[in-house]
Amino acid sequence: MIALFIFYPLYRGVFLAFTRTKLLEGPDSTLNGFENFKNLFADPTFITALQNTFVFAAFGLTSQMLLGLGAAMLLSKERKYIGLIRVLVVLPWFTPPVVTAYMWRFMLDTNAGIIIQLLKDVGISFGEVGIWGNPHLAIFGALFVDLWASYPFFMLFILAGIQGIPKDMRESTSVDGASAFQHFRYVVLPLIKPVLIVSGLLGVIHLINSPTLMLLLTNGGPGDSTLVLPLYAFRQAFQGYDFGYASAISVLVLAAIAGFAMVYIRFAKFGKED
Amino acid sequence: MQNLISSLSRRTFLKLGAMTSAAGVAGTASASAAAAKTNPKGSGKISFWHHYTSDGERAGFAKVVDAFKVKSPAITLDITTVTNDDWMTKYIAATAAKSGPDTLMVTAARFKDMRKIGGLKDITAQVKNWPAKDGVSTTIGAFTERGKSYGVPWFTFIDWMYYRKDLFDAAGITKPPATLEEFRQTAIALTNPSKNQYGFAMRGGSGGGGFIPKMIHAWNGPFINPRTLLRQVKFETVRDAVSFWVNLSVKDKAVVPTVTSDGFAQIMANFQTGKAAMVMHHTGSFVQVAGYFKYGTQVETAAMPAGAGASTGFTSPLAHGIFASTKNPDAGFEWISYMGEAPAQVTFLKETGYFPTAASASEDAYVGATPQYKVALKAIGVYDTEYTFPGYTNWVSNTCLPEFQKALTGSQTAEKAARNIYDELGRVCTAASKALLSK
Amino acid sequence: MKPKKVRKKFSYYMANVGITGLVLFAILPLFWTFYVSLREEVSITRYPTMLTTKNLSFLAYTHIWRDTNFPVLIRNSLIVSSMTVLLSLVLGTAAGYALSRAKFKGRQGVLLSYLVIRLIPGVLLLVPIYIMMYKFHLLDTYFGLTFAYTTFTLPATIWLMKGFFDSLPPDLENAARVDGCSRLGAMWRISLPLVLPGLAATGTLTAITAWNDVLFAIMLTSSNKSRTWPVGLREMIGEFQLPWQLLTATAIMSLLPVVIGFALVGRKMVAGITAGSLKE
Repeated sequence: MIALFIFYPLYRGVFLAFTRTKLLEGPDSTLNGFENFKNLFADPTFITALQNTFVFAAFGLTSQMLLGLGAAMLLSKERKYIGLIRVLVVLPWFTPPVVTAYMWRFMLDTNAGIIIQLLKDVGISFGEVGIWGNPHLAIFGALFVDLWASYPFFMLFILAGIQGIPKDMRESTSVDGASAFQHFRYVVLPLIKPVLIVSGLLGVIHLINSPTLMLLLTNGGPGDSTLVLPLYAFRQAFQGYDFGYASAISVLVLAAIAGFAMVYIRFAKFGKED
Repeated sequence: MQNLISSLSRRTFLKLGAMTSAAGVAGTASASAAAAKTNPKGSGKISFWHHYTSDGERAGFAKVVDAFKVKSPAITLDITTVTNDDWMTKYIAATAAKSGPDTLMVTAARFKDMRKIGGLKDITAQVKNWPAKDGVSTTIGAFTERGKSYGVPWFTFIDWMYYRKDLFDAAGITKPPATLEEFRQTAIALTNPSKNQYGFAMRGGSGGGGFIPKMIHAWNGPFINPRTLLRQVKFETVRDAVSFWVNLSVKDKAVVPTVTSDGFAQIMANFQTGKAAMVMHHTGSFVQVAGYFKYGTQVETAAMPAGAGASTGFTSPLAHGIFASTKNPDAGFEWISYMGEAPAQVTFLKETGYFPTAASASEDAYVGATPQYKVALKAIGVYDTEYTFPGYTNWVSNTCLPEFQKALTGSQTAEKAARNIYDELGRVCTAASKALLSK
Repeated sequence: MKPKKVRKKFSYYMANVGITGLVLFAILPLFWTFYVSLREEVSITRYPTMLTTKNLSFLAYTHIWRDTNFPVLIRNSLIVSSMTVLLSLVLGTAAGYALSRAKFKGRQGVLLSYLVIRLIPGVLLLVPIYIMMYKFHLLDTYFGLTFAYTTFTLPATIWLMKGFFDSLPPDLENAARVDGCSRLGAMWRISLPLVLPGLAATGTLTAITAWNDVLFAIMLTSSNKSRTWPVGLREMIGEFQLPWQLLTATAIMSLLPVVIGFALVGRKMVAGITAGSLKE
């Protein structure tokens, strides 16, 4: 049944990408080969969305994984109240995207935002347009919010990976006096590599595929400056009623990430054999 | 007042007739002659989708539902909220699955889209047999296509502006602007950045795209041929209209600077906190504004300023339709026609300030006793109805808005924005016109 | 010995600073949200960044709890999330273990196809899934939502569980099998306890996905019978309003069950079952 829920919709979606399916012309689809894909590359909005998606995924993955790794290392040692601390640090990740988006939009609001106000008090100003009204800053605003919301995902899995390491190996540093970094590089890192690979992959997919936060934070604006591909596909489908075109965008995204994933896994495998 | 309304209504009626189609007018006219039959009484369970989200809307609607339960005890209502943002998504899925609500709301701007996608039932025959149909003759045209009716009107949003009377007084301005040029001058005069005060809270964020067709309309008059659905406006006109609107912010600096991220909530907050002296919206926010200010001394309503071609404001009616694959159209019509009549509409008006479509409801003492509504009553005769053609809403939110925003932030010129808006309008119109001919 | 001690002390303080920073980064926004939820709406709009103790109250909370359908929506969310966790973990652990241990051909293909599923953009799925749910009479039911969520969480569950099983030294199980355990027994008695932190993490991930989802909740539900709380929250943010006080109060309330739930699971993760059982 689960397979049915996945494969039938997938088949429909891929099929639609090769058809002309515009609901304003009627519910029927007619095959039109690669027409939709050809149109895509002539569509400047698509190109913009592609670039935005790439920037968002690249910056997002780097920032979230680094912070996640750092946080996991910090929180892996037993200390007082560590359970409580871990729960608190992971909290943002539980916060529903709807809440996260509205909360941060409010806090980073040019007039009403507490953070903007505090930064202004120490002399950092984002100008009178603010973050969300500035086409160069808005995407970094969104990245920051996503860092807050998503880095605990990496932290959580890396932490679980570290805890999966036998305790005597985890704590070998204090005994043979190897420097903390070397221990990390040669003992911890190889052992948590599978977890890093998996969480990295899922993280990228999440960054590319989840338009919820962007939808609620900026809705692609101002202009097209934060328009990402899934958001564009969503618009084409449910606001432009062009399911053929929307599917083509989605299929392209799918193919791109699948390709990336394949290369990524290969690459990761090679690393393992070293 | 009564006279005013009926004469204005007739004018609007004629206009609407021109906007939709000759067949639509003929259909309603001949209907009144053959009003012998009545619709069968309905019974059983029916579902209904609405997109009310505010407390006032919910409270008003709950009262309407209660009154309907008393009037038609044989019908059980199953009511669902579907937010405006999710509306089309759910509607498309429901239409594709042929499983949706029995009855649902239809806004004027979305009507043609919803109609083309196919989930709306033709209710011409039932409307013909409905005794109260003449009361809504002014607005039913907005939900008519080729002489066929798809919706029973429920209320109308009438565009207007709110202005801070206290700030106007302080600046020595005695009356609200009547034309767009006066509007611009007033906005500039009321701007004083050192006091953190601006003339106008412009909506350049979510929902801001809707002002682009308003501007083009104000410059040009109707920019779509109602019969052929083809574009009837010159590029130069669009350029001037878009440039005027963009320059209020970019050149005149008479607009709250956060404009590109300001949606409804933000422009209202700017107005409320005195950051802006004027704000444009429609009658739907009347009750909310009354929550912050006293009408008369602190805040007043004014009609939308006029342009060279037409007024900037639209009337935007909202109706209820019946879903194409319903199994219970009789009960469905009994429910939606109940809301098409004055008692239900006045009940709703009292909680929400949403303006009734039934002519008799406008005569109700409540409307007469609220002086601010005079602006709206007057405007009904001047405004045109909100556009509706296939692809309209997408053009507004996904072409007009981003292009407008890019011009606001300086990523492109107003002329370039106008060019893209104009070209896309051409494409949408050609497609809509083609679809019209093929059917 | 001395410089080492100093260094150790220094790194200990640095860690303290880092941890404090992380905690503040995580919770200050939530505290601000909580604080806003206690304020009066008028005051929030007028002086959004003001810090005050005047007129703070829990009125928004009592209003939501008494006068709205929110408690029902929370209950629905709890039920759907639990069902999703149960279904995903049972299926996901089994599949993840099999993929990690088995050396059968096309293993990579299976993994990749699971991954592809995770990749499918929601746009492609919404309408077909709605139609299928309608055909199976699953619209507006707990099971409908559970199946939809499991579809989306399962690939991640399998991948993560596989990762956790992979990070175990295979010798452990082999040793157990030499001692006479069956493969299943080895998995049940040796590997599973070792991946318990992973299991807890994965389960939490699944629960959150189900708990937070808005898209499918909107599409597949239409009444209080199955509606989950994010739908209710979304209805609050209407076209004509952004009621900060109510919104923030709802947000805090929606976080409470999660915080409690994770406090329990979190402790389990800390318990160090892995290390303990390895030493024995």
